Amino acid sequence: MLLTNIESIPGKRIVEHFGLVAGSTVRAKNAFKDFGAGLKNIFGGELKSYTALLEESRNQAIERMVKQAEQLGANTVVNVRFATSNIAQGASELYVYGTAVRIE
Amino acid sequence: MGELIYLIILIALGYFVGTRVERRHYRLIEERERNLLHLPAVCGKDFLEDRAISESRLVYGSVVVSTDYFKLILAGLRNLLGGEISAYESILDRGRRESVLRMKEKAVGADIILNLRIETSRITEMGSMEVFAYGTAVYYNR
Amino acid sequence: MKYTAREIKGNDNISASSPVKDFFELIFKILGILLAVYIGLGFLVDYLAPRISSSLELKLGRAFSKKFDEKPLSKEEKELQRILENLLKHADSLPKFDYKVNIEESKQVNAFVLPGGRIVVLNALLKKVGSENEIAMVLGHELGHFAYRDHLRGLGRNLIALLISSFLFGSDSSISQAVSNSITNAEMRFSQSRERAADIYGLELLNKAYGNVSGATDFFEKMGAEEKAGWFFYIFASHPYPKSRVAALKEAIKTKRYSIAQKIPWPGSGE
Repeated sequence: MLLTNIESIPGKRIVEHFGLVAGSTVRAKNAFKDFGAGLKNIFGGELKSYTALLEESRNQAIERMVKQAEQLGANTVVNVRFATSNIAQGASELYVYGTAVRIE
Repeated sequence: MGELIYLIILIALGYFVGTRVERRHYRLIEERERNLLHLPAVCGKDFLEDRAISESRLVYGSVVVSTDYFKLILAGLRNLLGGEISAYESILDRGRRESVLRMKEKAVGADIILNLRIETSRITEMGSMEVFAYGTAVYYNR
Repeated sequence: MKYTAREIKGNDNISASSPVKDFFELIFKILGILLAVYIGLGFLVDYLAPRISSSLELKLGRAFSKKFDEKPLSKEEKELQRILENLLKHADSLPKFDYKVNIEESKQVNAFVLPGGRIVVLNALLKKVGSENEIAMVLGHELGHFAYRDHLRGLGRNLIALLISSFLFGSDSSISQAVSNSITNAEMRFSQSRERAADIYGLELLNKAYGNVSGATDFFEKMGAEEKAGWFFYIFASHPYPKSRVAALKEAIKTKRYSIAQKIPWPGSGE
């Protein structure tokens, strides 16, 4: 499955499209890790555990979107957009959406 | 002890009523999605057919969804240990699909909705979300 | 571009796991963690309690002293203080504290010790007392806890909270006092073996101070007569079964050949 965040796949022709596909997942941080992150906030620096957590959940969201696209008979998702939102204290949602298309 | 019983009643009520509400909502969403399948909403603008266009205009739809008490408690517990909050996934999924449907329902007779964008924002501390979908509806000449 | 209308079947954006199962799993996990922390703190207390120096203990005691030192001593408290000081003259191996005794309102029949040499007698216990010897035995028992340094352990898990708050905010601060006020006498517990050791200490002290051991078993006999719960309940309780305490005390009186004499009446009681 090809993914792009532009309108097309350069050098390829899109023959048909299937509309919107989307994937999402909601994750919570571990309260103990949160405590560590609170300490880290004093000194600054990368919150490695959070980076890993968000990366992992974003991958899962993409996987879910790709599953939808496959079901529709698409081989590419163009114009992919990511959105991360904080839905409750300590919980983040990763959302990804795009247009499922078939290229030659 | 009284407080605990009160809490358990709230959680049970939240679970049973919330599950029913959700099931009914999903039934409605699926039915409307089937009816609107002829109108695609896409991200991007290069999806037009080679036809003359009579009209294009902005359409949008929004919905505020909230979690039930059971899910709220479940998410609260999950927050302590971390991991996937599957309870909230269905809330957001419903919100997304509902807002897209409302947008499509406003584009009566349109042939395609271009450049779809979806925004999500938290509006209360307790897991109420607004989902807003917008795009450009395009009408071909008949 | 051609649009092909196809329906997406199923819903991959929702996890397959059951929320109810999730809920109970989380509750059990969290309760498990809390239990582990609670038990862990218990072990920490047992480790820390004997290692706390007398000067640190005096500091901790200050967190409690305000509550008691504000009020003037009642007549009964002065009487108790007199009995206590008489006992102290004969006591040995006690940490060097300024020992004080106070009375507190409560429906529970109990007495307990606080860090820094303070004994608290609950007024429900005083109402049951029939003689000076009897109350002297109770005070002697509590002094036994000081002698064996059980008293810090008696604070239980609160000891940790109190230690932390006195280190962070000082023992005179309102925070430490709030912590000390939240310590209820339900928390003041020792193991059964510590209680028996304190009983024997009290008995020996009673003999030294009064020359006899009359009234030593009175209090426990009354408790035993009133106790509705059977011996089974006491397997899990902190205090030994009153009847077995009486038996142990009587056994000690016999082997040590302590004498019994006339009891001194307790002015506080109407009897």
